[in-house]
Amino acid sequence: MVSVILLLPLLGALLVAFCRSEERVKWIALFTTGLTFLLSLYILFNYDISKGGFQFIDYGSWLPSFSIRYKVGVDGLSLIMLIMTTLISFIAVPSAWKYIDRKKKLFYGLLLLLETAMIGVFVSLDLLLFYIFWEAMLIPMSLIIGVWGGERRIYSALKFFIYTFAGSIFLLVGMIVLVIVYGSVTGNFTFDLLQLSQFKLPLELQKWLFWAFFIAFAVKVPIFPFHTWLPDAHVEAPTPGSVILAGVLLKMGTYGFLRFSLPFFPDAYKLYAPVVFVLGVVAIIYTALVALVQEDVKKIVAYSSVSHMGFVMIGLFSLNVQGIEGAIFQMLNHGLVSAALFFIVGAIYERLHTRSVERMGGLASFAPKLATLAMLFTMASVGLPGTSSFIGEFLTILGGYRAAHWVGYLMALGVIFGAAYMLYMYRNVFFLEPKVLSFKDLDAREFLALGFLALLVIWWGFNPEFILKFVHGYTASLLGGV
Amino acid sequence: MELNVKLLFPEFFVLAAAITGILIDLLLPKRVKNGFFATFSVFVLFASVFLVVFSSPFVPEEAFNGFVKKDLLTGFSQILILFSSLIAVFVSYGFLKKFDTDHVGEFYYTLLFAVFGAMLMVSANELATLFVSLEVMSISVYVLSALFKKDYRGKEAALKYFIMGSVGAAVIVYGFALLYGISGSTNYGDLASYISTYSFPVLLALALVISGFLFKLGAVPFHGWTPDVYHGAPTPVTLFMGAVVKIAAFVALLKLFYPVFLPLTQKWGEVFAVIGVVSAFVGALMALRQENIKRMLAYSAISHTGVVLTALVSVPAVSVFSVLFYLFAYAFMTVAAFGFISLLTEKGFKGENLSDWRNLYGKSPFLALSLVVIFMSLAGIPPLFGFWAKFYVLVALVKAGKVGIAVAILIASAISLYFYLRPVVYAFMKEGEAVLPPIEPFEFGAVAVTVFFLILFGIFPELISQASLFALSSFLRGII
Repeated sequence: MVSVILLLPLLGALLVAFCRSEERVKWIALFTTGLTFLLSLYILFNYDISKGGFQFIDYGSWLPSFSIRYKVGVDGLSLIMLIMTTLISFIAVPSAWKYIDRKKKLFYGLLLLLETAMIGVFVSLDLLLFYIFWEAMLIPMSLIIGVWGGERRIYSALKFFIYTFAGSIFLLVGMIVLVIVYGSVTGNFTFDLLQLSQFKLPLELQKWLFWAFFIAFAVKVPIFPFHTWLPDAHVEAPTPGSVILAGVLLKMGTYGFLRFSLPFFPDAYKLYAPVVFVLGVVAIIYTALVALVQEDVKKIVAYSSVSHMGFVMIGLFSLNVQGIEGAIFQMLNHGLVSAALFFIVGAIYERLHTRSVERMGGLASFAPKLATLAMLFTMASVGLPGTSSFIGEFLTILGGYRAAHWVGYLMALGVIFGAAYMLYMYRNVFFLEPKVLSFKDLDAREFLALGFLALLVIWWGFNPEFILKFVHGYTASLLGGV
Repeated sequence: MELNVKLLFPEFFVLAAAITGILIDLLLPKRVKNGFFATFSVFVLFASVFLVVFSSPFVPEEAFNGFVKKDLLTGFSQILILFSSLIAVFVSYGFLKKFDTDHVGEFYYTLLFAVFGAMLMVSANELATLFVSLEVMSISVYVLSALFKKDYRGKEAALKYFIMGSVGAAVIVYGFALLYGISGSTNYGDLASYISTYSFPVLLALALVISGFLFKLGAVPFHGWTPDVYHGAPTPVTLFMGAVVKIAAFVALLKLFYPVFLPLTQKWGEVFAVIGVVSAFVGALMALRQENIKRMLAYSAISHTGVVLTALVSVPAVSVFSVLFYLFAYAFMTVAAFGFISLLTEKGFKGENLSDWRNLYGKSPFLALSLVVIFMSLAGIPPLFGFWAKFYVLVALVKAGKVGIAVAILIASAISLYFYLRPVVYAFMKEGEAVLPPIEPFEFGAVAVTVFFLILFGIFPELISQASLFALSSFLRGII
């Protein structure tokens, strides 16, 4: 079943490649991503929570001479990431509908390839398979940034590609070292995630490997000071590119920490948690301050992503139930909210061809629907109770507080700065004196996409248990081992 | 001891075909030559693939009193050589149509002579045979570089390659002479029994032989000729040099060093590792600023050679496996890359520069996407063939405990990512007009097939892994 979800977008990409009409590809992409989303919902409703663990496992021999297997499956964590990925990809298609006006075939083909790679990252149960998807995703993503992006698109695409690739170097070497050490101790050469995570490494090696994995994941999250690729990539990427970058790609790093770093190197993970707390707090406050002085709407949202991922990181390293569940919830929630915000920024850009805050203003009087939805997502980004962000931020702050009090205080300070820059941006864009003569409100396609996300944000704000029930078992077994 | 002539049947077949080519060349009118000789060479190479398949023994066999020894390492590398040459012929057919030469027949039969040399080189089990086959191959390639009319670049490259190549050959032969002086024999098996000590002549001979091989492989510090020659030679010849000469030299190196210098493995393994890391970095850094794609690929070849060399520092079995796997991947990638360049080349050396590839996607989406596959495979991005080659080298290095070297070659590969991305940037992201000469269907087909293999073996590398494992076990039977 998981394999079907994994391969469906690939099939869609092939269809796009053989489709003759430049217009029909949109519909193929919409249909494929929609179907993928529905199938992932099927898995969501058929996942047996009481049983827990990995389910829907598909495996087959792939590289028997090196005992590398094709093995995919989902547990609570993967499942939530899977739903998020298929949902965001499904939303990315309408966000591209008008924005992408040339080389459409290439675009939708790449988008579908990207979806396969992203799903693969979250469902792989074999280290090498994970790495392959993790890297394979770079090609379509940087092409999307580089071909349809803004003025400095080539620079940003190259920076994104090389930066992330350079980070992954250490991941690859670390994986091979891990596997070979495991093989020399147990006599069993395998890349299987489940077997490797049972293995207790000596602390000295844990420390080295922890940092090797850390660099790769930290670049992807991104954690301060590895975040410099993100503003470039986000700002220059076309709207659907930003939606996917913020919505899904950033979560791959945090997913990596949970899936690999914590089970493989629990002692080093605990040992270095304070370092991550410091980096996380710096990320939260520093990037919030940076966001406060930006003129470019997209940059503000981009920096807010770095800031919010700081919460996730601290939650992950707090090593208590609240922190980790909060972090997982915040990953999902940030996926929805930042995707929606980039969608909105993209919609404004399509109409005004500017992203400068200075040249907007008073849009609320022209576009009430847009203004209402934008208000909702701004509030969600700030963490207003009633939206899903509140749950995520509250839980991560609680987790941080339980780990170390000062962390909790500083995170709360970050929330205030977050409110400051988001509200400041909202006021300048939607209120004040109108600086434009006319502005078209959302059309049905945009309204449906954003409305859907809005419903989810509110629903999960009031009913977080709907998501969290999938991760209770996962967190318990994870923390049992620490 | 016996002659066992039938073991060398594939080589003799190619040689006979090349000589027949000389005779036919005298009889044919010029206008049919290209078509005829291309068909003829394709037929010969295809037939030799079958001959190699049926005559390669799993248990190593010797012929001509131990002058040649064949095992599956030889067999698989010969198949790889024949495959690369086959693509070279397809590409040459299109290239000869675009570029004028009086020597159509010579071009094809010299190519066959070079193939013969390469095939004999990977089966050599004796120093003189190795040297003679090396020279047959090299001299044919010098000639091939200079065959085109008004191609001053090719002639310069040929001369440069000839002079530098002769020096390299002289160095190797001096090393061989020393070995002969020490042992009184040129046979690998006899040599091995004399070389167990660290005596000065042995080390000197080792140093000379290593230098000579590094020269032929184009590794630092003997890489100076590579960019000029790769750049100057006609593209199909560069393709042949990049793929066939490299495979032959590497396999000959494995077949010479493991049996003969086995007790000194640690020593030369480390030499190769150091040289490999330096080559990987020099190649990657020098390629960053190249505007001509052939030149860029020449530096990339230096870098790849370096990566392969580092693998030799590991346990012999793992080294041989990862080197052979890398050669498979590297041959496919090189053939695809140079075939691709040849496809886009027009008169006056147009189509070889990055700026000629601007907005290639607008002209031909298929070619532009093939370009992504080729260059990303060279960069080692999964799930393409090149990734697995890199992966196995890393496994070999980590197994030997050389994590530092593994990280170093990966850093070099991160640097090289920049120049591998540049063609992609030009083809997709820059505005402009790409040069696109009329596409030759055969040439196009050959490139498309190799690109398809880059993806296929990237997703299912098991076939090549198994082949390399078989070759390895067959090879090990011969030395233990």
